[in-house]
Amino acid sequence: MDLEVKEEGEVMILHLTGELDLDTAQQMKEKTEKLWQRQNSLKGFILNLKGLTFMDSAGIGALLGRFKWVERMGGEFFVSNLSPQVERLLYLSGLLPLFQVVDTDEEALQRIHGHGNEYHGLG
Amino acid sequence: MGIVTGVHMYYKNRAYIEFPARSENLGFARVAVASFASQLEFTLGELEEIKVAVSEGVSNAIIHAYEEGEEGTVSLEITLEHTLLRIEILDSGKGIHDPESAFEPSFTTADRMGLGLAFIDSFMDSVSITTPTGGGTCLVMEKTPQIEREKVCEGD
Repeated sequence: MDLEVKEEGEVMILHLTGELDLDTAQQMKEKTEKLWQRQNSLKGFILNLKGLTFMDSAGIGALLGRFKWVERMGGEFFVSNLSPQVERLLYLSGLLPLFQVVDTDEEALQRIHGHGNEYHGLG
Repeated sequence: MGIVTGVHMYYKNRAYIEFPARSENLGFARVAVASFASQLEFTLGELEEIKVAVSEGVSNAIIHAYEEGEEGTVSLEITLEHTLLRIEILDSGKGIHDPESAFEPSFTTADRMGLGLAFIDSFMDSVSITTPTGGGTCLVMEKTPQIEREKVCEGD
């Protein structure tokens, strides 16, 4: 599991690659919690799951934890690039209606900022 | 190996894996079972479902079977018989007091949402939990490829 992070003002964009299970969900929790320590306010949080190759209920738990934190911070929570398998797990767990599901990070940014802001991708 | 019985090919194969109850072995367990199961006509989607089910079952054993600091083992017995995949996940830990209650929607433990068994139930044809007389917990789940079930329905 690997996390690539980009902060655009009050928007945090995370690209998650690899597998999210009991073994790696804990690493993901620790990494994001470290990032949050220096975050005073948050408008949006975009979790891009394009590189996610496997997820189970431990991963769902980690996603729910991130969602709750973003909600507490008053931000909007987006998940982008869901594979059909991941979408099905979110649906079965009842979490899908909680999340704003978008096809791309750009779409999420447009929803957060309104149209007109350009996004140049990670890195 | 296939054994020809009448006009139908009767297939039987078996694998046994044992490893320490540690989360870094989850990926191995998933891939090993999916790889073995691919001897039957499962689709890639079905193999993904099997991976989730194995991950949940083995995670449960890792989290619940043993006390903190106690290093136990998890064993997987995978059987292919004709068109049926059967996976038994066995630990030798403290066992579940009431195996039936584990399937109730409200069954959760300290840090888990109780989703694991719900996923297994959705992705496998059958699942059951027993507490063997020798101790521990045994989770048994079975699945037949959809394409084989359709053949049966068509009266093949």
